[in-house]
Amino acid sequence: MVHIVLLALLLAGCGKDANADKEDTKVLFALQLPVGAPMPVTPSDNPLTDASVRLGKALFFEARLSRNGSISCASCHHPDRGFSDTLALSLGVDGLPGLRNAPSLGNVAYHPSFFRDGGVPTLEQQVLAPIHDELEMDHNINLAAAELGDEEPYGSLSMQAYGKPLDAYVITRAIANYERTLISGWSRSDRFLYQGDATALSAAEVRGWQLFSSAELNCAACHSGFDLTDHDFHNVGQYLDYGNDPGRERITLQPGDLGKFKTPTLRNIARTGPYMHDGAFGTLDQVIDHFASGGQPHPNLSPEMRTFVLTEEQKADLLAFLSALSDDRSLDQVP
Amino acid sequence: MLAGLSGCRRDAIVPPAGSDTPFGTLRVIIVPEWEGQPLEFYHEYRNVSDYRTTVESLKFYWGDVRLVDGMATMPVSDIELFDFQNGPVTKEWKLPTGVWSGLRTGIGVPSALNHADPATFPSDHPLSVNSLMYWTWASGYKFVLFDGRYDPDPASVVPLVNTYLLQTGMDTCYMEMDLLTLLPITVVKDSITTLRVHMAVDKFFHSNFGTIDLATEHEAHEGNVDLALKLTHNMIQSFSIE
Repeated sequence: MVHIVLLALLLAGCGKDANADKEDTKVLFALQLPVGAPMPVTPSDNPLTDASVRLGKALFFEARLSRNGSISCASCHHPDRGFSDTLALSLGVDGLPGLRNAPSLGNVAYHPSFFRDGGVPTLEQQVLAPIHDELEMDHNINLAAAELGDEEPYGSLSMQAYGKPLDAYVITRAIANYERTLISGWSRSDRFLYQGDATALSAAEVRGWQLFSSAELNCAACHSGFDLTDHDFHNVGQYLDYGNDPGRERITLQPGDLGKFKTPTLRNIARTGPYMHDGAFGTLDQVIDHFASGGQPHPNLSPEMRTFVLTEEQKADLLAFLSALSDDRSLDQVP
Repeated sequence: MLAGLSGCRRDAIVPPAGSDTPFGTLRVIIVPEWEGQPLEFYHEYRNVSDYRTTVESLKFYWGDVRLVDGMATMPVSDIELFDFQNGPVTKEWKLPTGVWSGLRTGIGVPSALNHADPATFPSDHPLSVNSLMYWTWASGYKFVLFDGRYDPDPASVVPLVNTYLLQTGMDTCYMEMDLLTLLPITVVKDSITTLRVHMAVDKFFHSNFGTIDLATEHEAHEGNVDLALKLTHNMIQSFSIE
């Protein structure tokens, strides 16, 4: 069962006149939400209009947002991988690896902060970072806007969506809106957990869900709620020495935040490896082994971490449940 | 004629001028120097530690710039960006006429602006992405960008390869200073009042607050608040008004 919330509201009149383009800006995107999904909050200056989302999608796949035209947002956020990358560290315009593993973009509409250290408070501001980062797209967003602004569909969509030519403001808002539509919530686990379909999961997957929810494993202490994340920052004892990536401490400058990273969503987790902030673990099997070990005894180790022992069958059950968190349909709702 | 650290802001703001208020122009010229001579980018100097040193980039913000006289102040500018790539930098502001004892400014971007979205500013605004002073990973601006190269061995003759990247930011590094003058700053109707500010870049490495030893303190673009504060304190003591 799929519950669809249609947000399409045609606020403009039917008449085709000189104000037609202006009226187009008021057509809201028909966002489909699965049962159990909260309504995303959008900024007052960036309503989720149809034109803005279509423009955002075009820009998301536009390689000319990078300095040498070699990579787009989609180069590191593959739609068929839950909008994440297959590499531990994505490669930028000159083939140089970035600092961290590219996270899934599924359900970013619900995130209160962005990047694994939470240094950026809005999706709009997040867009700037990869475009300007010398290890990623290494471009200047204003130069990119100047290059693309006169081309279609950018010129007309920009006017429709924001009533102005393509610029940094338009690019950041449009891509943010497209990313807001990447809703994940159509997995068999969703049918089981939110839609009352007791047959949606196999017996092994149900046992895996029970393990996941158990106090012994304590996964749900942090991987909670609809998006299976508390959106908080934790040190899970991946290392004793975090080297050149202090995690949350980079933002807060607090030693107690050293080695803390944002809890990632587990949606589509079977498709979004490699795992951890630096992509150090290639398989979910390795991830489970790490958490079963309780992590390294770092001074900031989360008190939620604990050791546990799983039989091979239990581990297989847990992996089966995690795989059942994969969406049955594409996250991309834009035709 | 000296720059000094000012206290917390408790000054009264002069009400905005009416339409019939006469206006004049205040012009500030900041002249970067090294030991009294015009600073040359990429020229090899000896710093306070006798290290071979070049300067390759120097930019900073002034925030909440205002004229002061006792408890009274006149807002001059919310934010200004100074980029010395082409030598001295001149800024001009149209202001109501008046007599003031000094100029007060913050080094950096005030907190209220520091976390703004740079994409919301026009491309020629000091806070736009074109300034290349925005830390995209932290949603804040670099307050000071002071980069170059160094070699701790004064006898060495090989090309300089070690880089220093002294880039301050974060709200904790925002600091105010007073540029005080012996004579009052008088903004005269339909005239230009010029303040020539000398900035001794060689003193960025040393003041009574502390010495920056580039051999161990060459990177302050992420997290090294102590070094960032030391640079800011040293900078404040490097300014003087002619």
